[in-house]
Amino acid sequence: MRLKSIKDLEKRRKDAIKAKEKVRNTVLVCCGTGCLAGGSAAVAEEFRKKLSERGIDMDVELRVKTTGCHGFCERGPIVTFVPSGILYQKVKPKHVDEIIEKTIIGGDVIRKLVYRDPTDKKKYVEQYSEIPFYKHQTRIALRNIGQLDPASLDDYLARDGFKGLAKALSMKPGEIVDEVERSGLRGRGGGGFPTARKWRSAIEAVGGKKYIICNGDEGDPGAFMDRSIMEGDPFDVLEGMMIGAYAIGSDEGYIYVRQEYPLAVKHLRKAIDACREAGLLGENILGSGLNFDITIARGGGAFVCGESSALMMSVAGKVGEPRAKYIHSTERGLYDLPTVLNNVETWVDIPIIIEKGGDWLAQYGNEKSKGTKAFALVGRVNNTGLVEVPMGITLRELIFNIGGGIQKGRRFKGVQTGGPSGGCIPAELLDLPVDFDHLTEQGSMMGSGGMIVMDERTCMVDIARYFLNFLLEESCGKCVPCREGLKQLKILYDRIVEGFGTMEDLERIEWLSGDVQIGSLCALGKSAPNPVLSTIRFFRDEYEEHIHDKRCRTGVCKALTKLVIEDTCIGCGKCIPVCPTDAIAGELKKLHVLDREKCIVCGSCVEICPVDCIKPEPAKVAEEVPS
Amino acid sequence: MPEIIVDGRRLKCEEGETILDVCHRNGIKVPALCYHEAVEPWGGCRLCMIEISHPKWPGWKNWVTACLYPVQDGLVVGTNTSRVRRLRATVLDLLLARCPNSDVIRKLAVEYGVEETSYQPRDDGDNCILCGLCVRVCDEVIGASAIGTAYRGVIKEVSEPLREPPPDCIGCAACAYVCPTDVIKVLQTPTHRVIWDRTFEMHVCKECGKSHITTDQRDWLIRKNDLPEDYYDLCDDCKRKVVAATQKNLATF
Amino acid sequence: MKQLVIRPSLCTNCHICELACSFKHSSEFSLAYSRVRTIYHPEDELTVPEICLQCIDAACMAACPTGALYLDEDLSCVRVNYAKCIGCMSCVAGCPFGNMLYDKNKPGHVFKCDLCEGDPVCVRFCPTGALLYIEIGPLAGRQQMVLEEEEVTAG
Repeated sequence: MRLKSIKDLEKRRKDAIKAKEKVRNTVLVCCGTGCLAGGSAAVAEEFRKKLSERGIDMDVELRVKTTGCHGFCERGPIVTFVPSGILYQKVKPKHVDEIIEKTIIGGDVIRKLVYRDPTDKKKYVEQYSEIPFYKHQTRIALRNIGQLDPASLDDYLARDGFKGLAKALSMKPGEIVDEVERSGLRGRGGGGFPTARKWRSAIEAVGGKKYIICNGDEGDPGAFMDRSIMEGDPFDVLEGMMIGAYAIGSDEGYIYVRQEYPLAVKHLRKAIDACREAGLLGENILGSGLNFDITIARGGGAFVCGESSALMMSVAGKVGEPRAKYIHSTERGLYDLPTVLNNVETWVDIPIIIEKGGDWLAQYGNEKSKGTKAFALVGRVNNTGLVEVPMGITLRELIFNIGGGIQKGRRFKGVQTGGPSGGCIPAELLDLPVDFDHLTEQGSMMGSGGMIVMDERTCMVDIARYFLNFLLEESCGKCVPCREGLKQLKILYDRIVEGFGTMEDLERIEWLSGDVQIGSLCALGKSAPNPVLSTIRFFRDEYEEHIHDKRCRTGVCKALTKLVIEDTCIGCGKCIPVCPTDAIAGELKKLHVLDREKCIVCGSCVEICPVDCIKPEPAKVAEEVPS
Repeated sequence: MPEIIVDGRRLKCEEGETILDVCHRNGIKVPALCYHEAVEPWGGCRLCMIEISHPKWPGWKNWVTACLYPVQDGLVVGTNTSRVRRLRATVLDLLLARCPNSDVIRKLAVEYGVEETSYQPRDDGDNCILCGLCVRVCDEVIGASAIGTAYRGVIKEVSEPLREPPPDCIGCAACAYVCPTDVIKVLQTPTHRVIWDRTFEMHVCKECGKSHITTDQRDWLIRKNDLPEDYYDLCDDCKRKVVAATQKNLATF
Repeated sequence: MKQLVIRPSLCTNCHICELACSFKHSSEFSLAYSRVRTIYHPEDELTVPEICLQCIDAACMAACPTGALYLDEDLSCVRVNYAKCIGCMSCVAGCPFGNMLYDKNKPGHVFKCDLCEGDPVCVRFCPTGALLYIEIGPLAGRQQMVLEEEEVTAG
């Protein structure tokens, strides 16, 4: 049914709301990628099956919806209830019958499925909104995920969807940009460029045809904010792009989705089809005269294609190599025409900025970083998942209040912010505000929102080497400093973790890193030395220990480590079956023995030991191999 | 007309020029390996990096490639500062590690104080420095796009599509000519030319049998310039003979 | 504007022009590097010193895909910008008179008469005046793409 005007749109919205209100109860089963991997599709299926068996009307009495990612991935599969607001975690198909019986029909809460405070097992929190993980969040970009069926246009309309577009179409393009400027919105993909300024240069650019692009490449390891948004709230992305198209005068948009996100592509396609059918994409949108349509372009599996100029090459079917950006993409971008490229999270902030006004978003955040930001909090933290908070929050609040602190009560060592382009922030800087500027001052960056929390068992030399290796493999190879420099940096790191490192090697690493930073063509190369330089800056003693003492205090660097079972061993036998090479032997309640010849230092025994009695010690290293 | 100051010299520029254009016009030497006037500047080798600053933004400095950076009125450019020299030395040091057998790279590296590479040399590669000139010439000038690059990063290499003799190649060997390190092999006989594993027939002169272009290039020229089929039937020697026969009838002065 | 003019009837086939030209440009006495090529016609016992006609609407320029061949307006001379040349030899094939030359030892390397910056050595050394560098009024037929016998005035 084609919506020919804003009046039509509002009528459909009213109908959608009425239909929603008719349903007495709704069960929302999270089917974001994380929970899907945990088996939530079977849970949803089981709900439908059991409800149908019991003869419960699923259109009026209880509707089952599958939604996008709630963010609390550690506890998935997640099921929430409307209107009671209860959240159940780690739900399996075998629980469904009991849930229907006790919770839906009986109105009772099932204790074992409710969230429990990890530090105080007696504290149960039944309400979704009261769980500390969610309570401390301000979900703006993530506002709809988990609350609606991502395939349903009506669900989106019932949650104020397309109110932004309706308002925008009654404004002048210049007014729209003014509103975006008032909000202080800066690019959420990592660059932090003022969005209004970018749109203005595109408006001023000479040329008839202009493009709108949504960057859904999200290459940072550990980041999944954009994935959750594209999977869980695709109409929002489209609405943002439509408003952008109207503002800058574009009639063609692309969403570039990385190869590894098939579910996001599926949901976006469904949403695009639904919009086309409703006349929200295509010609004369809502009778406004705006013509705009969106195509999905899929990546080929290269991190470098998240870089905007490489992305545009990829969309054009060319080799994904960046170009120097002395001439901006807003002047010459896709096919050398004016292009506005923004990140997924930036696009979904747009509709609410227009709907509620720029000042509304600007109430959050701090002076230079207005609004909220979504973070993927991962690593050795208790509550891993997707969180959105106002910028300016400290790392401490993020990791300890929302994240629930370090697993197993271990000691915080550092947090890698901003993915492979970022740096490691140590414990003494935990009170740094997380925003566009403060982390950058310390040699890291907020980036796209990845936060990898590390504890005392993480080797900082190994972490830097990991990111270096990642970028070495992902480098496009166009410029010499990145292509050859990262290779040589990795070779130097290999020497250090194998026990052949010298202080000259460390000096050479610092020297070369400086040249890679300045000499590289694009941000991949320029920021590649960040993990290297920040770990050397804050954890230099670990590097020196690897070099002088040939010792890796965490036991991660295999060549430098032998594992030893200390006499605090309680003889529980848990380590014996997990050893892949059968290197441990021992009788129950007697000190176990580790055979060094068989041991491959994989660390599985260390992980499982309940009393932490297996310790790393320096191994003997062969004599130095000449460089 | 914008004016920039390069190494202390005030130089007039045209709007839209690059810093390298201005340097070349004024005889200022800036090294560049991936630059060639026949194709668009690329900014891949990073050798032409220069230091820039501007009195409007005191305290600001940046290092950019001269081949791509557009001139701006008042821009202050240093083509040989110590930081620039260090950058170039590192680039050449890294290239020398990549191609330890290349005389061209070694000669340039020595100019910047790098006698031996400080890094681990590659022991199994050719002298390709991945400047992209061969691919870009074939793409932008010839329009055949017969070769491209495969893979990415350190294992990136110039290659024919699917590593098969390229069907779009016209055998002009421009790629071999522009290669700064002479990597592309061309096997030439009076009747054939072998390049990129493809054997091309040479277009022979109808009179004397001499040749200097392939039949594919001849076809390309005829298509491109909309010429009669027999335009290229004679070689340069035989053409001269024909013209000389006409010219011998010139009157004296 | 001076032009290089040939008078074949005065040419004695002494080859001094070729030797002078090749030596100036390549420091070698080698006919292969000369830009002027003498062609002997035994039937008439006449030699023609063939040299680039410096066409204004040159076929070599049209054939060149990069624009490396350009007309130097001051000398009215077609020149090679080696920084732009890609060695494809389209110009060699393109010149209908065979005056675009190439180095058989260096594939792709082309060269042509550049009027020696306005003081052609072939003219200087020609003992009989078969080669002249003179003003002969408005640009004559020598600079047309195709020579018409009747259009050739003062040879």
